[in-house]
Amino acid sequence: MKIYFSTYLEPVAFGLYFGALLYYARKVDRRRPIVWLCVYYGLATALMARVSIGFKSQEVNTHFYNMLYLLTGVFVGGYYFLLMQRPWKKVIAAGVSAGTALYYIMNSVVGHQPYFDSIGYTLVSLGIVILIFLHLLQLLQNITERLSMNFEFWFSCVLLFYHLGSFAIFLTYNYFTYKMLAADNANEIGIILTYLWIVHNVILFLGGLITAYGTAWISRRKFTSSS
Amino acid sequence: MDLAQEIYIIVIASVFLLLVAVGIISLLLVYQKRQLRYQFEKQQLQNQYSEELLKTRIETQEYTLNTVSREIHDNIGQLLNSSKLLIGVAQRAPQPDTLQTAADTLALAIQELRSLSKSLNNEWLEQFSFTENLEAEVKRINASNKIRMTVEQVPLTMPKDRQLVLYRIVQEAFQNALKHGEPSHIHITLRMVNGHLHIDITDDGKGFDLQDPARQGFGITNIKLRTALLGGTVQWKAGHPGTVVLIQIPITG
Repeated sequence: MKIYFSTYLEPVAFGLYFGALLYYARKVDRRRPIVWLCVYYGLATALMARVSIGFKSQEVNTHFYNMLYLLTGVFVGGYYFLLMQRPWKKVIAAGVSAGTALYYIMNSVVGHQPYFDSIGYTLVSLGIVILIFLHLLQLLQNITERLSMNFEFWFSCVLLFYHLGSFAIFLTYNYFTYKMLAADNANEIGIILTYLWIVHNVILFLGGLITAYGTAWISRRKFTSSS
Repeated sequence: MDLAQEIYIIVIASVFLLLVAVGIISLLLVYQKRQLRYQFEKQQLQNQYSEELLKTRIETQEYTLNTVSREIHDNIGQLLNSSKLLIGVAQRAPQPDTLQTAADTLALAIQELRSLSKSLNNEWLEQFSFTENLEAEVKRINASNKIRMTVEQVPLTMPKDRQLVLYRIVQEAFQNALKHGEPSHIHITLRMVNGHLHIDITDDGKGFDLQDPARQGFGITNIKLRTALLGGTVQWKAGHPGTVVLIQIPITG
């Protein structure tokens, strides 16, 4: 059961986001930001599925996880870049994408970071939370329909829920990793880290459920009001 | 700090941040709900204003048509009759004075017709002036020699549609006094106080019981509604004798 939550729940959660977004793109909105998100969640699902496949053979998977924060920073930053209207907000969104890529190159490519880079995750989450607030502000100034009928609002709420909820885990994961490496009770800390990652996966999965519910709800409402 | 405590703090922090996220989302939803309700009410108020403006235009046009009809019958008709009689006299016994008087009377009739045609112009709203219309109304009422009406004006810089609505408020107020108060004198004062137009309509009539529901007719309801649409207030006070209507309207732009 624990293995399922710590390893297999991740590809399932990403798959849920991917499926919901694909459904929404097919039924309601095929504009670039949605397609961009579909590409991101498609890649993330594939990446996490690859991690799950390699789990049984106990292969080292930290580089896959580090690739995931790279994808998250670049694609979510790009998504907000497409949504932002003011040039300075676009610059911040581009900065998050470029900054993530630069950080990844410095740490994982040049620096050969051997461990799960939770600092990278923390920085990406911080950047994304800033973009979410800027975007919600823009949305509130321009929106004429009900917020709950707006996909961008739903999705920004899901991202806020996930990135704020996981922030404390990302922030402290590296600290525990190094503590585990130096400690005598490494196994005990390893179990605790697994539990922390389970909490993260549950938040990720809940975000996926909210996305699926939101996209289905908006699609149904839009079809009901248009027919 | 032992490991269990550290984990405990992280879980608490995660839950706290999750609650922060949920709180922010809830606040946004509540804020937007209020904003939409405010916009809906604003839209409703604008619709009500447009409706009232249309009603006011129709009322003013009807009133103008009645006045024009009366003017044609009582004034221009009389002038033309006099001219006809004078020309008839001149035909029988030609005299330069009689013809000159007939010509002067005809000129007066033409002048009256010109001023009447102005009030029937299609662009009357664009040309509408609160000050001019109030003065014309005062002149008309004073011409009856039954009631004395005086007015102290100030220059108005309101949009024409607001001037029209304001005119109907003031007109309704002194018409009420004329109909129910039997006054001998009505005095209207306009003055500007801190960006607000104050209009006092004072009469020396019988006055009326302000609490009497039977007197809260359409006229008073109209005055209240239209004053509220202009963002202003209206009050009725007992005079010594008579009634005082106090209207305050904010002047914007």
